[in-house]
Amino acid sequence: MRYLLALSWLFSLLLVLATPPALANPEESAQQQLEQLKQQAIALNRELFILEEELLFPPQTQLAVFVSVDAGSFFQLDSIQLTINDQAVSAHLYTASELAGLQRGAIQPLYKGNIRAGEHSLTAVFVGKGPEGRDYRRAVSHSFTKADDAMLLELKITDSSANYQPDFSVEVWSGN
Amino acid sequence: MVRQLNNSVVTTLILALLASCLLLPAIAEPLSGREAGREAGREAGNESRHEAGKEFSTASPTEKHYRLAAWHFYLDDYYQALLQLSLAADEPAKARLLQAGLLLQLDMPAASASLLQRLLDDQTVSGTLPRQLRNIALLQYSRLLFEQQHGGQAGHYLSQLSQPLAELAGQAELLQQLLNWPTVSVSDPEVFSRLAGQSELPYVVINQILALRQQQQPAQALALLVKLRQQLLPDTQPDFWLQLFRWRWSEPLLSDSNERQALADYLQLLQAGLLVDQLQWAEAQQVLAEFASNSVLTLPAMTLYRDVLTENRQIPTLLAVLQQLIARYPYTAASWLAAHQLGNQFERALAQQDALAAYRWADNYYQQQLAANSGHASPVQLAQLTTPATLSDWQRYQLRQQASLFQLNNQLSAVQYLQQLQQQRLQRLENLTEVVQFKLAQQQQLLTAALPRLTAQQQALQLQAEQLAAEIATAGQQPMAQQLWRDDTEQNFARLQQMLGRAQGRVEALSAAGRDVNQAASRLGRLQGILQWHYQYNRAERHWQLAKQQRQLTAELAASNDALKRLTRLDGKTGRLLAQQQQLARLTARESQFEMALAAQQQQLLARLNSGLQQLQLAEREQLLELQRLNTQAIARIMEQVLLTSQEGQ
Repeated sequence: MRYLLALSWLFSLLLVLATPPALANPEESAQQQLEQLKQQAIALNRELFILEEELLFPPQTQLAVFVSVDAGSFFQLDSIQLTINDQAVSAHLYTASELAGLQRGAIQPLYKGNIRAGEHSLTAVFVGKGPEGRDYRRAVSHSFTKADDAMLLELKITDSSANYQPDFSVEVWSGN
Repeated sequence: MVRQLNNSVVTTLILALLASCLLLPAIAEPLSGREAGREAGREAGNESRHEAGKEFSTASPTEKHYRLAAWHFYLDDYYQALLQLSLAADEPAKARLLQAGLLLQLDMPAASASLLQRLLDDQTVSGTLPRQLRNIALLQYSRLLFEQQHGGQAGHYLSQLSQPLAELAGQAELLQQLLNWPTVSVSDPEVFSRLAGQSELPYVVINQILALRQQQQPAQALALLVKLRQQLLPDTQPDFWLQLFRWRWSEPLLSDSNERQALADYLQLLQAGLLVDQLQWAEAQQVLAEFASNSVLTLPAMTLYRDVLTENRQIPTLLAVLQQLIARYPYTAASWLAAHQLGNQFERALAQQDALAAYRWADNYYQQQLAANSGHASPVQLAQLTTPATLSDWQRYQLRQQASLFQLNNQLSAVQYLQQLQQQRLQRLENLTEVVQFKLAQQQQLLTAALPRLTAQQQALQLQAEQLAAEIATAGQQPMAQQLWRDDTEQNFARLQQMLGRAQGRVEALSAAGRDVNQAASRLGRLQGILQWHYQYNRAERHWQLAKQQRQLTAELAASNDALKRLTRLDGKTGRLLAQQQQLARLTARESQFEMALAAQQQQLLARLNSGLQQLQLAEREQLLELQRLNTQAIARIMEQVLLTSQEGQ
């Protein structure tokens, strides 16, 4: 009987011990304050970005290049090299997560810079694996005239069902 | 009551949104993990994509921002994704929904809930959402309301879900259970077929088992548990023929093996608990004896095992379990209690000497623990949180085990991340300030020095051009204006014209002197006629060429005039630059305020963390002292018994 009493006492003690002491923490208010700080960070980030665009990349000189992959069954992108007027301006080596993002429909901002008004040419060299896993290297060129509006170009990788080959093209974004 | 991690819902929300709006065949591939890998999900995604295609043309600016935001989302850069979304001119319902998901990823449930509420309450906007996306919005908002303990409102929104729910059925049912707890439907034989293939199925069934247990129906609960465990069995490799005819077989219930193992462990522990409920101690002991030693649930399993062994009087095994508890979980109450229980077990077995030795060992153990406890008092520094290796084992254990401390630590990490982002923004602000200063200096130089000089030159040119035009116009009035003769041939004629003019002069002079010059005059007249003919013959082309050159001159002058006007307008841009400079200054000031707010928040959180740790340390000290006191009493009791026994022996 004594042991049973002791056991029950020990079990009740265990229950008490197993329950961690309640911490006096106004967690909700801390969470709210933190959320407000995050909101402020988002607002500051946006304001700075807009100011940066205005100052560093005004539409009169802005050139931005984006990359998108539609399907991508016939081509797995490894890297892109970008030249403007025969000057290398950007090169990007893709990670698995970046490729997954592109294949799920994301658009990558590849390059943003400034150019003078007038005639220009852009060349993008795509390197990767083509059909049947063969090494694949293809270039696409595009000539354009820079005017007062920002020039936004999208490098598109699509699958051509006609010849079972990847297709590379440049699309000018209108209505910017 | 079992609740799944909220994170999976958030990820599902965002992935479904992205899947629905990106018009890509590649999206049809199975998404990884539990989020969207099931066939039903793919079908729903395809349907949504089709609907989304009507809303977003491939080149619409909204779609571009959406897909750019997706890029940042896939790279886990949620702040940048939100920024990209906020740049879109219009905000369709899907963009708002994506925004809500991103806010949740940033652990901003209040902002996300507010956005979802506005979206769902505005029927004109939410009505444009595809059915399944609206369901996701409703489900997520209900969940957030439930988290905020607004069960009634959560139920209201949950009831608005539109059938069929497809891959969302499991989440909806789970949330319904949470809202109705403990009133959960337990007689539900269809649950396995209804939620087949859905990752929420085990959680829904476990809740039913827990409800049955609460209703003191352990037998039914055990039956349900066994059925569920069969479904959780690892997917063994079938033999060749089975594999050959494997068609439309159900996939493993959970694709994540870690989650499957954790659930299996939980079910094993629950089974043992249910057996204890039925007083089937032997069976419970057998179940617990097979429990994994490396599970997250090993500690509660060992604790229950200890109790079951105590009940079953399996002393040698019990002693081994107690020793394991002490060795493996030095910072838990179960371990400290185990130290005392060792002696207690010997005392129960009437092995007084062994009991005395064990109690003495426990006393020594408590002294060590109390000494170690005093060492836990040192507060955590911020730098230690960034490098957890510098924390003590006890601090690391508590930050991992105590929910409130874990949350505080996460919040501190979030503040540190905000500080990093802020440092980057400050650097960018500094660069921008330099750019503005450079541009201003450049413009100042241009406006004060270059512009007046260029303007004067342009005005002089303009004047010359006007004079030239007037001269040409005047010359055009003359019969054979010499300056209008054009190329070499015509210039030759022009010289002849000059010579003819001089000859004409001499003829007139000779005539005045009374000389007979009739023949010469007649020859001069013929020559004049020939030149006149040439002049008239080329007149049209001459006029056209002159007009063309004049036009070119006018155009060039106009262009230079425009360029000068543009330069003059830089005066206005200077104003704009000055305004931007002020804006930068304001932004810098706001950043400073933000920095201070972050620092204050950080100190506040750190103080709370240290306070929590201190409370824990003091509470543990109290517990250890209490156990030590209890142990000392036991030593006294045993010594008394030993003394009495020895006296009786004498």
